[in-house]
Amino acid sequence: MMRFLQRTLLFTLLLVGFVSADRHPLHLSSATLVQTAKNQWVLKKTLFTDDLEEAMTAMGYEPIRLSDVVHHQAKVQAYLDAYFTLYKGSGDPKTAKPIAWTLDAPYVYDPESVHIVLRFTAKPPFQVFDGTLLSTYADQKNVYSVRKSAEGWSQHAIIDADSPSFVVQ
Amino acid sequence: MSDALSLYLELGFYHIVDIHAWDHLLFIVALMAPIPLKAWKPWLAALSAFTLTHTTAMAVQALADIPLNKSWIEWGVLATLWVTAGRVVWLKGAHQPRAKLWILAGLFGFIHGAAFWSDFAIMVPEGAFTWELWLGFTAGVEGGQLAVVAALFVLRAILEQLGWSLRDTALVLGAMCLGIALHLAF
Repeated sequence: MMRFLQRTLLFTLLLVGFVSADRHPLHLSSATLVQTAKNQWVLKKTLFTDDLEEAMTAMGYEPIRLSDVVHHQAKVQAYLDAYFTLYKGSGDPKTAKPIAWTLDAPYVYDPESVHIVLRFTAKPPFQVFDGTLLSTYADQKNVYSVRKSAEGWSQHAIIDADSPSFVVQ
Repeated sequence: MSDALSLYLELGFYHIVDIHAWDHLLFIVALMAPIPLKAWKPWLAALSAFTLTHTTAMAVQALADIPLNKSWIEWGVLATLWVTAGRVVWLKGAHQPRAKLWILAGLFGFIHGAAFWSDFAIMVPEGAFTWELWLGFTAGVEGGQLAVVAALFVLRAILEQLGWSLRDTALVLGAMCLGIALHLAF
């Protein structure tokens, strides 16, 4: 009986390992949010190219290859419209006013990562809701560093499925 | 604790304790599997050597940012896993008290350190590197490593209660690590 249990345990461990094993997949994006002048902000965001392509394809587009920048600029804009929102204040976003942002064109492509730049005008506090890639990867994390003056980085935040927003103070 | 330190502490911890990613986790399991808890000198030496060298590698990269091929680093990490797990299987799970395992762990720590840096560099937004973030991530990695070792010792104790010898457990774990490491490669 004991031998049977041992073999069953061993087999289960091996099966679980073989089925789910992966090298270290990093589902991450990183962004800097820098105040360039009074109430003027520039957000520079870097995403893995293959992750964004998969997320946009899952959104309903035909299989996306972001290397064709001119062709896909509008689709990247549409994807961000759907998943990236800014709200004034730090209260309930249902009653808060959204903040308009603009996406610089063109986005910068390289085979490994895509770099996008957003610009907006906002007086802190305001909320950043960044759902990019969260619905595609359960373990996705969007990392932010915020800089409000030349003195250094004043705030760091991680957005994930459990916490899809943060407040810039 | 500052928000930066705690955030990167969390990122470092879950970089090791991550059920979706096996490479670093299995290396620690394979390294520690045959060593009895009571033989504290060998496992403490191996763990310390691994920690010292991967932290050194991360510090050197933070200072010099030596360009390294990410693909080679990933293969290097897998190679450390093959050797370490293969050794356990080759020895049929036996602990060799005279083996200088800490030398192997120390050498392989440089490769894992390069991999940690490569991943950490992605986690830090461009231009936002500070030593505080580095410290948080490094401390998180160490915490994750200790959690894996603690879990391994608990698992071995449970299996021992079920009648498994340490050698059997080490052999099973070594075989599992080797099998998964080969699967990761191909």
